[in-house]
Amino acid sequence: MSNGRTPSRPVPVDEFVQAVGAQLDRAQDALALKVSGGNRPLTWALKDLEIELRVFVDFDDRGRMMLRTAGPNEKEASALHFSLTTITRPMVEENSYQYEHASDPRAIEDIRGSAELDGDTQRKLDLLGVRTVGQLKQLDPMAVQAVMGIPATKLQAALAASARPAVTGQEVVARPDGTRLLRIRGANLYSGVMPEVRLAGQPVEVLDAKPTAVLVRPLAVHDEGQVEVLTDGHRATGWFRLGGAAGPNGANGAGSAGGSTNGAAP
Amino acid sequence: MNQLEALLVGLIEALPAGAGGPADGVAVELSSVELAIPVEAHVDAGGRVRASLPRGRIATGYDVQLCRMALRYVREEAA
Repeated sequence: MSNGRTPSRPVPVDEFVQAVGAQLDRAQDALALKVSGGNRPLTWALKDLEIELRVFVDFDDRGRMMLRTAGPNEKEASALHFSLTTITRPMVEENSYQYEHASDPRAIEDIRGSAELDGDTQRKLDLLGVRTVGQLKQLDPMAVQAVMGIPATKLQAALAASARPAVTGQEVVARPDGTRLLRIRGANLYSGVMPEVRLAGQPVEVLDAKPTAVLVRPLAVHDEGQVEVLTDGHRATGWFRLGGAAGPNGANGAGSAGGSTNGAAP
Repeated sequence: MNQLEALLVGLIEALPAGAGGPADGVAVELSSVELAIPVEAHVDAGGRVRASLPRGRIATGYDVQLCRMALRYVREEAA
């Protein structure tokens, strides 16, 4: 722990804000536990906090704003004034991106290799607030080129790569009758025509298909192996694992179980 | 220095929540508290704020510059 007498390591502002937010949450939790004595269930809540810090502001080579606490006798430090207040859940939801509702919630990082996005391009997209492939698909390449200087051809290539199907995960779905189904999660798995799905090389029945998930009925022999989804002339692969003893169709009546796949699309 | 959350909880704990009671025939309770205080504050390597009240009257040339903090606590029903 620092004693405040030695210069500290610079910290990115976003890390600082997130850390302070977590500290305030912990303070609120601790205050909520300190219920007033007797039968009066009152507690203290911290509504507003303003803090003025003496820091040096700098930018690192990635363009991130960094803060470093001023040491002794460093009188030229800036005074940064932060005002924090409590907000309600609806306010949080109104002002943040709803990842669970995204058309393609994959992180940009997940397609970075296939889309040939370099670090500088990814940083510029991050500055635009683009963190998921779904957000990337909503961009107009020409407008982004004009505003951020990312070549339109590079974005078009990234959009083409993001349009390929990909398998990112799996979920075992147990039905009340004991049968067990497999939900394959991913992106671009359905484009209007039912995809063809193979588990361990064998075709299986497709019960439902959406762009982000395909529900299939595994055969009794299936336990684990490669999953292949063929759609729109493309093939996406990953791995599945059902696990447990066989039931009516290879089911053991177990509840839903998540599992990851390698999800690599060729 | 302490973690910021420890200081925030410690400050309000140090204040009386009220005075009086049945024996006095009258009781007074605090409904809100506003504080504006100098603090020694430091951002650690994880971005967390460590803070404590200034260390008294003996100042040396090696003391860090004091920061300022303003807080508003309100009394409310526990969830």
